[in-house]
Amino acid sequence: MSLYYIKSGFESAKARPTLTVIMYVSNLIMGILLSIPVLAAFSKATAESGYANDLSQGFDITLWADILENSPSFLPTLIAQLFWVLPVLFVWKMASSAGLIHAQMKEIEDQDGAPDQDGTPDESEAGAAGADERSQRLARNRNTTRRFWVGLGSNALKSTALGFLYLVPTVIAILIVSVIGLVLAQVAVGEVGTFWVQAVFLPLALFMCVAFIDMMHDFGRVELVAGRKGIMDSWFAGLKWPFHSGNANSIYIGWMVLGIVFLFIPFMLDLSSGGLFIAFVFQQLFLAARAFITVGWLGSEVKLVEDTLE
Amino acid sequence: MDVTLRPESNSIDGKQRLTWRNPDSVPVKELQFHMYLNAFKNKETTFMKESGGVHRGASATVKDPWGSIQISSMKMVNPMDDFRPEIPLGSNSAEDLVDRITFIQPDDGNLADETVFSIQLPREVAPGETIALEILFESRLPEIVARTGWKTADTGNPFYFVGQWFPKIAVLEVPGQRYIPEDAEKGVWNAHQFHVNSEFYADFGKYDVTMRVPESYVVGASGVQMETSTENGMKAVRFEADDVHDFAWTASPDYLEFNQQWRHVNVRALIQPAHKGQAQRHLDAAITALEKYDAWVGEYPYTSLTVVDAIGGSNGMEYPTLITAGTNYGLPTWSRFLELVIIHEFGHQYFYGLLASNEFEEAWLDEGMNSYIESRIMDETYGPGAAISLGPFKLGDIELQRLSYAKQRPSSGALVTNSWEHVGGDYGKSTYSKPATVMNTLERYWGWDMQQRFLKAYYERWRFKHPTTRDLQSIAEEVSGTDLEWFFSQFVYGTAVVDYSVDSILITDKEDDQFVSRVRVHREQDGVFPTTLRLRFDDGTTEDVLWDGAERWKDFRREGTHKIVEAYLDPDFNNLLDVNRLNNRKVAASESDNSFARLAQRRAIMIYQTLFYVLSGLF
Repeated sequence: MSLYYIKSGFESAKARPTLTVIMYVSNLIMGILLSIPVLAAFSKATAESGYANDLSQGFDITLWADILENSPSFLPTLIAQLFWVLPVLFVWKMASSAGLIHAQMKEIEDQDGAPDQDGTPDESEAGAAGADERSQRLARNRNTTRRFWVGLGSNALKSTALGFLYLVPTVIAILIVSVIGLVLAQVAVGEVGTFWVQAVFLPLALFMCVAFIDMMHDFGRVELVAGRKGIMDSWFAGLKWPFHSGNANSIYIGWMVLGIVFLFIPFMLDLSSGGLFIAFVFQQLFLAARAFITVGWLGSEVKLVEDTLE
Repeated sequence: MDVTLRPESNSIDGKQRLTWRNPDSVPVKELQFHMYLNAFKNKETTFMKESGGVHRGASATVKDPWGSIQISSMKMVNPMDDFRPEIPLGSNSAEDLVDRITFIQPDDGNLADETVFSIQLPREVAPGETIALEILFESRLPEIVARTGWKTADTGNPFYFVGQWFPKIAVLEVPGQRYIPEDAEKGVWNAHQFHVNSEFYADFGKYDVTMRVPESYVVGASGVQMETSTENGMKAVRFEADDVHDFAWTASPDYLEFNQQWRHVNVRALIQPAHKGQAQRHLDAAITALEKYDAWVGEYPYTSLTVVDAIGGSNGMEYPTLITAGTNYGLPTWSRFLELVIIHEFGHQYFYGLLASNEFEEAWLDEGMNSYIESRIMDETYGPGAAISLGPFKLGDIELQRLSYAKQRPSSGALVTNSWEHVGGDYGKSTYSKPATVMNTLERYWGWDMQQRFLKAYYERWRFKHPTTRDLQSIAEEVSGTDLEWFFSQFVYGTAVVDYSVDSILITDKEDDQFVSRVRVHREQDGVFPTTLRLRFDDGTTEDVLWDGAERWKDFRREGTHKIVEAYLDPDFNNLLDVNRLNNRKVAASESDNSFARLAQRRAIMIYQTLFYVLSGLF
């Protein structure tokens, strides 16, 4: 059954490539913006140094240390960027997720001036005068884009508020894990115990907690946008999803595994041939695929919530 | 010595017979001793004041971590009589010298410090005469903070590393030895207090030590194990160590023992149970060090080497034929700090052990020379990324040493400085990483063949003789037949900093397709070192020019049909002392290349993109 929902999410994302493009491009733009200090600092330090080729060939700590010493503002700039990046990222995640949900949900009423039940364009937009397939596709993309931005615009604030509410279980979960970690540290004493508690248990437990709450958050947001519930109702509903739906768990885990794999591959490419233009192109392909996964992931969750609501 | 470990009080009762020969040409009436466990006696000792109770990150964890050493009786005996530890010293009618003990503070005058004492003998010791003293002492071991003491292991069992633990006679430096002038009237005692930033100095001798410990304990010690017997739940283990200047030992019921023979040397590893899987790494590293030192410096004369996987603050230390390593459970193979520490600690067998320089006054002769060879062994044995090799991130040993010097206030801290007088973290830099960089640069300056001849000659000439910096310089000059004063005065005795840069490349058009190219190089700091300037022309040809590096600025002018497009100082990176390599090279504006910056930007973009997805999961 969960495979059905994963497949459904996949089909939904496939039918709406614009959403993948939006997610990928927004991610890329943020990356490019943040990388400007890197370009500026390294350009200044290395362009006329004659070392550009040597540095491109491999890691040379001697030169890197000199570059960092000669560009004292480089690392502080990178760190300072976090002050605006993290809030922007948070708001964008909340808002864009609402847009993705809205763009993929089944229409209950034509309040957006949009389409039919499965998200495909209506007659008027498809071109009543017998437009060809290409123009139908273009019209469908235009419609999807519009629905994304409409959903984002009408739900961004509520979605962000919901996001803040989910900080509560996050903090509680982290506290619980920390307390368990502390208790384990008392039991599993010594070097070996410390290793297993600090290097194995705590990271895994934190990862699982974060994933668990992220799943709640996902479903809470779908309830908010697709289920048209209030913020508090969505929050409570989201908290319940992992406990009453096996499908919810399966869908989340399935997409998460795919998501991790598609993040891992660009990273491995970076380790082997990072920065080479061809490697960069392949990395971008995988990152675009990762954007597709984000869309499909939410598509599956929307479908599951809608089926349950029906 | 015959000593008994008392686990219930973490103390050692001991009886010592010290046989001492007056090496001076005049009679001697005063002896000086180290009582280093008193460094841990209270908060007022010099060590505690200097360290604040923290040594290499280790600090006390129990309410009563203190340690001390006390002599209850000291008598002169006939050196020809047998040492009979079972006979009470009180039965000897000779005068008890305990009341003659006077603690002295030669370094800082801190009266609360009782780590060195002087004693006036009842009679003079004639030149060349041998006397014997029998000493009853009790050593109360501290909780391990700095190298020595006790600790409760993870298993709950007691662990002991017993170093600097007995009354140890200081070195009487006679005229002509080290810095005592040949024409001095008499020798001078060289004894220093126990400091946070210093290791040790002592004279050579023969040790015969019987240690009595609970039967279940495994014992490791300096020298060779001679015999073992058990009685009433206690085990007596006797070790002999010849031609060494200290004796240390360790005992724990937890140790797992591993042995491997390398030529004439039995390499023994005493490993904590949690690190059993890393036993072979310990042995392999020790044998690697044995092989390299044998080939590069000289023969290891002892027949034993014990590598101890100790606990906490007792790790990373050297004693004659006994070294402590240090590892962690789960240490990955891409991190070779275990190997690095073992190779380093083994190297002390030569510089600390056999050459036995004074580590208080010239610590670099031990730690620095050793760090240099350690980096050479590591980099040659394990290749690029000798210290850390994680994917494309590779760190070699000498790279780490150089950075630790070049990026840490390189203009402060001369190599030849009393250890305890270093300030602001200079001890580590000036004792370990800077000398390693200096010696590596010397090697690159005159070649590995010359360096090997120098190392072998130094070892051959000076082992067992406590050489000084001056002696090392003399050997270097003698072997190479060159005056190295310029090198030693700047980088060993002084704090000169080398930084050469290419300031500019200027091209001027002349008629008939002729160009005038002018390269301006700059000596940015006070250090002077001859260097090569490589000029590359626009037709791809190169020209190497040797520059003595003395002028502050110097212009190199070339006229011809081809323009200079690149100037590169020290292209083979022979001068590791140059603290900024980035400014050693410059290309003409026409060859400006942004490819690395763009490559770095692409990597940054990808990393940020990946990071955003990961962070998105957190929101």
